[in-house]
Order: sequence, then structure tokens, then C-alpha cells
Amino acid sequence: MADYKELEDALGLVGELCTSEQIQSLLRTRKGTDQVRITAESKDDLIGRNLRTAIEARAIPLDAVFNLIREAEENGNQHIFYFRSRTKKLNDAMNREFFGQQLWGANWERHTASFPAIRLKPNDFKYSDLHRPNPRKPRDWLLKIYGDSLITRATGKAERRGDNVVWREFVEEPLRIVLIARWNSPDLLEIRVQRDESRRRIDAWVSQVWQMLKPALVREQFEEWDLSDAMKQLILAQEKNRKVYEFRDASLVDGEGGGVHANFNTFSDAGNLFASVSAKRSIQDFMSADSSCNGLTVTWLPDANRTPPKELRTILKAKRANEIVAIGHCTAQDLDHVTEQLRSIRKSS
Amino acid sequence: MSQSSFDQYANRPEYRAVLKRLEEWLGAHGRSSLDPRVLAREWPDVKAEQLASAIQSLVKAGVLEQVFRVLTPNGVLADGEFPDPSEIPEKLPDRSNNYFETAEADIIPVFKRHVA
Repeated sequence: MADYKELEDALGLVGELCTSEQIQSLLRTRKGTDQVRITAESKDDLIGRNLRTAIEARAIPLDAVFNLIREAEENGNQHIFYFRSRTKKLNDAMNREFFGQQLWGANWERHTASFPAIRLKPNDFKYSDLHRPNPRKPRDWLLKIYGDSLITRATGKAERRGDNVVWREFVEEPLRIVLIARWNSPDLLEIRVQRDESRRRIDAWVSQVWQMLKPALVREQFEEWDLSDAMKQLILAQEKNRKVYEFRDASLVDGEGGGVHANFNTFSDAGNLFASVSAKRSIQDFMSADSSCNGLTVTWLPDANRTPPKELRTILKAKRANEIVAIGHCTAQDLDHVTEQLRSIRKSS
Repeated sequence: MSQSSFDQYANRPEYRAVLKRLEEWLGAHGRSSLDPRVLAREWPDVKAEQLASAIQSLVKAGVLEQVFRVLTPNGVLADGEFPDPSEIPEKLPDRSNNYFETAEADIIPVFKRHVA
């Protein structure tokens, strides 16, 4: 576990990544304990006074703060790329110990002793954590990599200087990068990278994860887990599963050689495409013919166990066939719920 | 006419009917923002000034709060709501996750239930 000196950094990250509700839920776990106060006038006070005091009084362990950071930065607002292992042998061998040994050798636990490491390495990438993300799935692991980079961004400001000369302003800004490889047993590897306006950066980050998984795992051991069949099945079986999911946006391509592309969007960001009988009929007609779906925003609805606790939206096949985008923050359990739903619907297709 | 819990916010009797419809709309569309333009289309029988005044009375009473949303180039609402237009980022993703410049986009005020 990281040194107590990193408390300042940890509190800074809590401020950046966590909502006031998440911080208050953590404090509530020790409600009634001396030095634990739940309410504050502002988020700054909540972190700088309430949380700090609770940690210094040892009412809240530092581990709990690191778990709060993990939950916030490892789940949601991400692109997730699914890869399936090509061999059962690899599936059977895979767990945190096996992966750690493959990556760092016999003394792998010496490498992980200082995890989670929350400081960045300037202008570089570094391993920062290896943990079990789901206590109910002991063979799963999650490797986290932190990166630091300087990006150049156009501010949109332009200034005319003399005839025919326009100066455009660019600024350099530091970018904190969080990259993740998550083994989701029994056979899926998820590569997760944060959302970003630059597709070039996203693709480079995925390559960076593969680079840092070597020599433990190499790309050739995996195939892309194509979501096309699952998407078709999701659309055709929506009526049966109407309490599980809805659709907000669909991008379809006619397979009859006409090259027709059709986009369906609800006006509201919380809308349901199939609330329109015409939209439902059209989309299902597309899918029953030899057509394909090139993007589908699925709204996953809370089930009886409140998983997810509120609606969760994902764009399936956002660019690549094995890619989803998780819109907004969510929990590890929510993302696992989505993957399990996709697994289940894929099996039935 | 049955009693509405929004009756208390009617500073003029003629707003009662609109407030009742707003209450029903919010009950049926709990997860959506209330967009006055959409309501004006759905309720052609309600005068625009009555609708605006009724919404304003709910804002004053702290039942609703105003937030700002951005329209994508396709003319639908982008994800994300902002308490002030100055907090809208320079770029936002559209529904297909392609980023667009918000400086070129329409910004619309909508209302949502105030959460204490």
C-alpha cells in the first residue's frame, strides 16, 4: 500500500475524480464515529476538512480512499475494447498470480508491493496498480497504467495580423492518462482507455496497453470479440427484454446493395427509440434483412437488485466491432453487468 | 378538477390548469429535461406566456432549476447539462461519439427537477 505521505496527492485526486455524493457515502460508512462529519458547505470543505479529519483520526482507512479513487477512474467515461483469448489453456491458467509472474517474473510481488502508486512519471507511462476488481470473481484482475503527456490544443482564438495573415492560438496542457487492462474471466480481456476528442490518441493508448502487457500477453493470443451478432440479437429480442434495456440511437446500413445508411436518434438524451412504433418497425426490418448495425446506444435499465442503480448508456460498436463507449461514470459492477448481458445475448444468437 | 400539489405555486388562478399538466408531465417523464419548446408543440391549446409564467413560478419556488443543453449537428440533445453556458466545453461528443465544436452549436435552456 502506498505511503501515508501520498495523502495530499490522494485527496487531490478525490477532488478531481469523485462526486460529493461518493465522498459522503464513504463518510457515512463511519457515521456516528468521533471526528466523522458528513455534511459540508462545499466540496472543498468536504475533502479538505471532513475527509482529511476522518483519515487523520483513523476513522476512515487510507485504503478506503484509494478504493474510492479506483472506483472513480477505472469505470465509465471510457472506450472498452473486448478481446477473446484464442486458447482454453490460457483461460485456465489466467489469474492475478499467473499474470504477475509472466509480467515481472518470480519476484512479481515486490513490484506490486507499492501499489497503488498514484504519482505520475513525467511524459511517460508507468504501471500503477494490479488488483482484483470483483471479489465474486477471484480469477479476474485489473492492471492500471498511468500516463502523463503534454498535448497541444487549439483554443479557437484567431487574430488577424496584417493583410492575409491570421494567427491561431494553441496552448500546451498536461494530460493525465488512465489506461486499463482487465481480465474478465473466463475468456475476455478488456482494454479500457479514457474518452478523448482525438481518435488518434485513443488508438495510440490501446497500442500502449498492448505494449505494456508484453511479455505476459501478446496481441496474437487474442481475437477481437465482435459485437455485431449480439447487437442484431439485442434489437430483435428487445420486446422480450424490455425491462433490461432500451435504445436511444441506432445507425444502420442496408445490406441489399443500395448502400443506404439510416440514423435514428431520439430528440431527448433520455429517450427510447422503440417508444415510436414506426421507428421500432423500421429498425427491426433493417435487422431481419441482411443489414448491419454500425452503432447502437443501449440504455441499460436498473434490475430488481438495482444493477445498475440508475440508467447506464453505452454505445456499442462505436468505431470498431469490438468497442463500446461507456457514457458517464458508473461502478465496476455496472460495467460487469453490461459485459454479462452481452455475453448472454451473444450465446443466444 | 382534482387538486394538484403544484396549486400552491399558482400566483394567478389561470395558471392552475397548466401547473397540473406540468406536474403530470414531470411524473410521466421523470428522467427527461423539460424543454418548453417541446411542450409548446405538444400543448397547442396552452398560451406560450401562460406556459412560461407557470414554469417561472416553479423555478422561483425551487421546484425546477434551469440548466443548459447543447444541440448536436444532427439537431438532438448532446449528453451533459450545464448550470451556466460558460461551463460548456469547447468540444462535445455527438450521439455517435464524434466530437463537434460547441461554438457552432445551438444552446438551449431546459428545466429539471431541483435536487436539494
